[in-house]
Amino acid sequence: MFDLDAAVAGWRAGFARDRAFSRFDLDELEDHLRAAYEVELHLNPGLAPAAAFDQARAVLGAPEELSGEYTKVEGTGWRRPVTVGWVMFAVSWFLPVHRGGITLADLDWGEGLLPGVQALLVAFDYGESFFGVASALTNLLMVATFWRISDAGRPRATLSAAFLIAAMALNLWWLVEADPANDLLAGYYAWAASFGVAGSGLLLRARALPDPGSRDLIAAG
Amino acid sequence: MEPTTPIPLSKELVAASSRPMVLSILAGGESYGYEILQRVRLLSAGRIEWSDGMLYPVLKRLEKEGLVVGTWRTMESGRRRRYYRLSAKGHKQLEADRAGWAAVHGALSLTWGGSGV
Repeated sequence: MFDLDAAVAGWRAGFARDRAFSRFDLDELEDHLRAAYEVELHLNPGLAPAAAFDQARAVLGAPEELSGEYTKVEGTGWRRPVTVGWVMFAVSWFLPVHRGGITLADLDWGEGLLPGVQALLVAFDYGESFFGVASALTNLLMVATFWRISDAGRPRATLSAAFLIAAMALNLWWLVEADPANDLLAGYYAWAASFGVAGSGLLLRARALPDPGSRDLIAAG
Repeated sequence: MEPTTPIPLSKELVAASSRPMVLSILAGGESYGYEILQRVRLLSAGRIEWSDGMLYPVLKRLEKEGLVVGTWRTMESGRRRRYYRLSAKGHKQLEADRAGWAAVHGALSLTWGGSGV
């Protein structure tokens, strides 16, 4: 017995492997596939459902045939800075942050503290300073961008970019608080810059998306 | 009787005609991808055959340029469908495209008419 939903899910999984297609793109293509399947069955009542589905799928095209055109429209220039920002952020947790802090070389693995984690704990407890806590919490903003950012509509991409760039500005507060020439080390600079780099990539992403509101709106039919 | 077998169009001609074709169809009212493709086939009596999946990047580009506006709707079946309508900017672009294509068509008609093609 032909299971249309299972067949569509399989087709969708094939497209989802190609990063050129967002969830919204796949929703639209799936609607087309289902419509073409229904018309195929309507026009050829004797056709087996599986054959009708194969026909509709073939007419729609394969991922490799369509991905180039999708990529051309949306552009991929935003992916590099976002990825670089994420990598800088991840690496920064392993780099020495402060001259008085630990490094990987003298890390006691029994304590389970990376240099970045130690710095985070210091920030949280930094004389009960608002800026210290706020700066520590900006890590959550960066982590939030890991969640399906390719599927983000323009509002989310714009907001994420604005938050990351504001976070970078906030994190520069440590330059005022500490002695940058003597105290702050590579881990801090990589960490602070990662927000700006990823944020600029998300700004590029937002600019490549359709007008606000038009992409994510679901109106009652 | 008019031929109904699709004739191969060059990539360049398909690309150049896609915008005025889609804008012209949407000038008649909002529509969605599958319906737009059927309209193209119907209007051209099957002589223009677009690859189904290729329409959607065109719609995305038009939306990005602000010429059309897309809206998701949930159908009675629960399925989501994206509808497109012409924006004010799209109407202006359609007028410009129409004038341009009419000029090209007029010039070619005169040329081919004169040479007996």
